[in-house]
Amino acid sequence: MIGWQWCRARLGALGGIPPWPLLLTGVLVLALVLSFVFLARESRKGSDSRDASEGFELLSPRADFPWGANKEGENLRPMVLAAAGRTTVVAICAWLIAFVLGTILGLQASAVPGSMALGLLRRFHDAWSCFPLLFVAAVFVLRSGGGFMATVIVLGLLGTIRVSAEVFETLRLVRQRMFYRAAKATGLPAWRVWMNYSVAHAAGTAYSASWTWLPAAFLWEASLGFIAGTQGRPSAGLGAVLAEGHDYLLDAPWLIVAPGAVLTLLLFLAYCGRAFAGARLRGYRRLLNA
Amino acid sequence: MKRSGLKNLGRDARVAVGVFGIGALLLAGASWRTSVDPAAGVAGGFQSILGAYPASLKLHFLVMAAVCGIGIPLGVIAGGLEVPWLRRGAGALLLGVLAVAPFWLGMLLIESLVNHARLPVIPPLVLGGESEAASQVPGGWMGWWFAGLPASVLAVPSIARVSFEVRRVFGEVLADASMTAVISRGLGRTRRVYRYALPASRAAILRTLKDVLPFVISGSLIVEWIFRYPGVGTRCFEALESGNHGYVLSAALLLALSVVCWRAALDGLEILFSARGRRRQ
Repeated sequence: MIGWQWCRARLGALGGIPPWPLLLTGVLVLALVLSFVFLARESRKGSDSRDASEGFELLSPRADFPWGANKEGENLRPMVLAAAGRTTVVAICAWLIAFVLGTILGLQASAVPGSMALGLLRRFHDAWSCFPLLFVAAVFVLRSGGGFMATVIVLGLLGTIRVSAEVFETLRLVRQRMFYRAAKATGLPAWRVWMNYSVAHAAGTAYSASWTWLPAAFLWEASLGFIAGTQGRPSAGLGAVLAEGHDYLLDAPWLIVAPGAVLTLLLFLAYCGRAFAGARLRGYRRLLNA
Repeated sequence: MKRSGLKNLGRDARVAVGVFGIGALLLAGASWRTSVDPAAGVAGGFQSILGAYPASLKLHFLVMAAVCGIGIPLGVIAGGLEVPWLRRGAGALLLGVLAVAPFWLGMLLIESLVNHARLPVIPPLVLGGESEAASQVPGGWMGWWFAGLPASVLAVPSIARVSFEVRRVFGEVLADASMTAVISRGLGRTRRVYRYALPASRAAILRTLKDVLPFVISGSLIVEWIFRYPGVGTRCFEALESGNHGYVLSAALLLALSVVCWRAALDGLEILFSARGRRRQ
């Protein structure tokens, strides 16, 4: 329903207006491209801006430094925007891993026969959802050095567990439905039933479920960056900029205002996508449960 | 209803076993190819975690009280709004509040309270100072004051999250076809809400409360440290700094078990409410 066939059907029904999965993906791709463009620009002019602003340590916002300057005299605006770009890239990469691996794992898990396996998988997910996952993520990211790849992989794997549980639940419902049994009874080859029903439904569900993971990916990337930054480890997202600002909290509060506001804006956009995708997923589940 | 509540309690017991299993696996994973002896870290740290846990429990209790006392009524009010654009606006506003990162809010609060209002925000006022200072928290009302600030920071996004979900569930219940029959009986709006819509959305509200718990506890890792609150979060933050990962994971295990206990308590509440509902009928 929410899969590729759903997209095609809606694309036709709406007279060429892109349906919501394409719109949301478009927004993500645009964010990713903008982040990369900004990061490239930032790395090109990196050292020049430092020389130009020498002697302006912990400068409060004014006309030529609208967001202020940090302790090294760097203009905060390009720095914060570059950090926001890095946070966006990490979150979107984690989203992508959660989407792809979640679909594959959900398909695999639903292929396991027997009610005992089903019970075990559900119990695992119930127990896993009780853990304060930021603690777990912090341990595994800091243990592996706290770099870009470690953060992406840990956040992607945490999202994968959540997405695969949703996919698994959807496929369980799909297999109980009459249309699925009818498709099997008509003598369609097994691979076509698998492609047309299991994969399409799994991909659609994983897409929506991974959107519900995106705000957590943004927030946790910033949180992990903050933890790493306060401990003097290498990190380069909005959390790291906030960690730097935390050291001068009482002397230079502007150091935390701009990065926090940008993080809030990013989180707001991600939560809007989550609310939208979550509503579609619930509607779809209601349809399958009817 | 009663049977489903009991069933949930049984499930909680099985989940607790699962939490132990996953905790053991995580500890084994963290100790793989490290020079630090994880068993020593866990054994030595467990007593310290248990010592800090009452302070964290106080914090979590305050957050959950704020979520139940403010978040649910706010969601009910927002869900019951009859003007569509007003209801959507309330949803967008709640999303905006939800988007505020708790640790950023905490830093802003410290800055404004210390710099402008000159209030004692952190027990011994140290920013970036020694960790042992954090273990001194005054008792009595001042203790609640120092717990109240991080709790309020943690509560703001949690309240927004619960309100947003309650608003959605409540709006769906009010728009349901079964509500048309209730309206046709000529019942007033208040009676409709309290007699029919609230009991109908009770299970979903309890589910939302259960979901928000790990979110609150995860947030406490940074927020406790920012306020130098002597809970499990601060100790774990310091343990992360010293590379004692076994300590952090055993704290995660303990906190996961506390989430299971909270969930069991919420299931107990469900049993209680459903029994009251049956008696009324």
